[in-house]
Amino acid sequence: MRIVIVMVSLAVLGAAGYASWYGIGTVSRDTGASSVRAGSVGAAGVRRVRVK
Amino acid sequence: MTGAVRSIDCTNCGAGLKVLGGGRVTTQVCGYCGAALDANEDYRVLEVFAGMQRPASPFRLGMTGRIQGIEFTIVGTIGKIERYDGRTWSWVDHQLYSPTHGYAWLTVEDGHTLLTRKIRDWPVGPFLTSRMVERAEARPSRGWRRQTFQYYSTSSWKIDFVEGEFTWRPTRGARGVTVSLMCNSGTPQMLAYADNGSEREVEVTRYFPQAAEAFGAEPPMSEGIHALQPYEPKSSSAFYRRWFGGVLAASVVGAVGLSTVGVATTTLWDGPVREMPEALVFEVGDTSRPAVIRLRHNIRNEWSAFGVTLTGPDGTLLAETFRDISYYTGSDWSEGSRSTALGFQPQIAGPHQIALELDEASTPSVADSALRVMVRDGQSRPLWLWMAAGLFGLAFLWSASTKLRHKAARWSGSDWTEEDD
Repeated sequence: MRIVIVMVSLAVLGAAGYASWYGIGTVSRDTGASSVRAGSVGAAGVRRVRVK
Repeated sequence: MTGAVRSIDCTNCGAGLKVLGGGRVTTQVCGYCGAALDANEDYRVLEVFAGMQRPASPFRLGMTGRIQGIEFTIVGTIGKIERYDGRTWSWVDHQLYSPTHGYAWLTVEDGHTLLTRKIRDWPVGPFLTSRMVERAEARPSRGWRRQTFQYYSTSSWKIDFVEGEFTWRPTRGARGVTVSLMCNSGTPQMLAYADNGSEREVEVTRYFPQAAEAFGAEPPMSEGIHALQPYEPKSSSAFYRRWFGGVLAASVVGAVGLSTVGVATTTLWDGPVREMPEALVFEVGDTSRPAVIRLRHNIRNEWSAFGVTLTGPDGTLLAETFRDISYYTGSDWSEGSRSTALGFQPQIAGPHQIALELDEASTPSVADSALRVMVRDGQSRPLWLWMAAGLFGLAFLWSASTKLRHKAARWSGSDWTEEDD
């Protein structure tokens, strides 16, 4: 049981460290080679759509 | 009389019954027919308890065992039940006898074994009754042998099984009330003020897990944590506490390190929107991690929308999108934010170009307000390590609180409630 707990917590720590170092989740969805801007509701209710 | 007789035949059914108790035995109940026999009057039948169902217990009449070096024999068995609010509790009391040390009780409750003895040196204060408990404004307590016992629970029990020899006359269906108090420090003990309607006794009970081994019985399967069960730290508890403390510290150090140590932020523009160049150029050196462009627009009760075009060193279009900034505030409220960001993954190191165009705004004067454009490559995200730290922190608290949780579990069976609850 101890070894399982140790391995799981090391895996969590390693994954969190990797994700933190490489900034996982920092890249905006509307960037990148395959990104497609699907639109959003802008300020004051202005809806605009741009497609790359 | 009983001192000379070692076995008798039940005067009701004729079954052979061993006589195990001492000279103070007054009643013997036949385990075959349920007849209560008067041990002081030629075992005449007093009454018959028909159809009794023997409660589960690994202990039987006649078993002998040593308790603190003294040999005791199980001479009687009483099954008790308590019903309250739709719930039923049941336990088994075995009367023990030692020719040199008298009588005691071995109790089996939820698979836990307990040892009870009457005490002669009663605690200071009046005999604690259930009525006194009901009227008490604070949790009642009593001092005994330099220990303080606090009220735990009141049990209104009924006898539903009886077998063997007793120094009193137990009857099936007889009721009694026991008010229990438990000490809060040292070895867990319980003081019990027992009242069966005709007799009042004060008893002390302690946890006795060695009972099965002492009497050569099959150890019962215990359920949950008993109120009298002492805390015994498992060897793994200290390990887990240290381990989770270590990984928690590693997570926090990593998160703080990533938050404080990093690549400097470069300001590309800081001035009115109207005067901003068509394109801003910045250098990206680290392509292994994302870069983030931040816009901070100094507006108040306005909104603005910027078209954003981002290209790489080789002219590749990395993003063509827009960002809204909206910030409204009153005397005691605010809504929205003056900042927004665009994170992207650089493919090639070198000069990148961002073009910002004020597409729309709430008023034309927004173009005169200050806009700051900043960029930072090699972007990390400590949030993941903070989340891991939270997870490890919970695990650390869990492993570090085993003693506290054990104590809480012991007291969870108390029926005392404060007035404010």
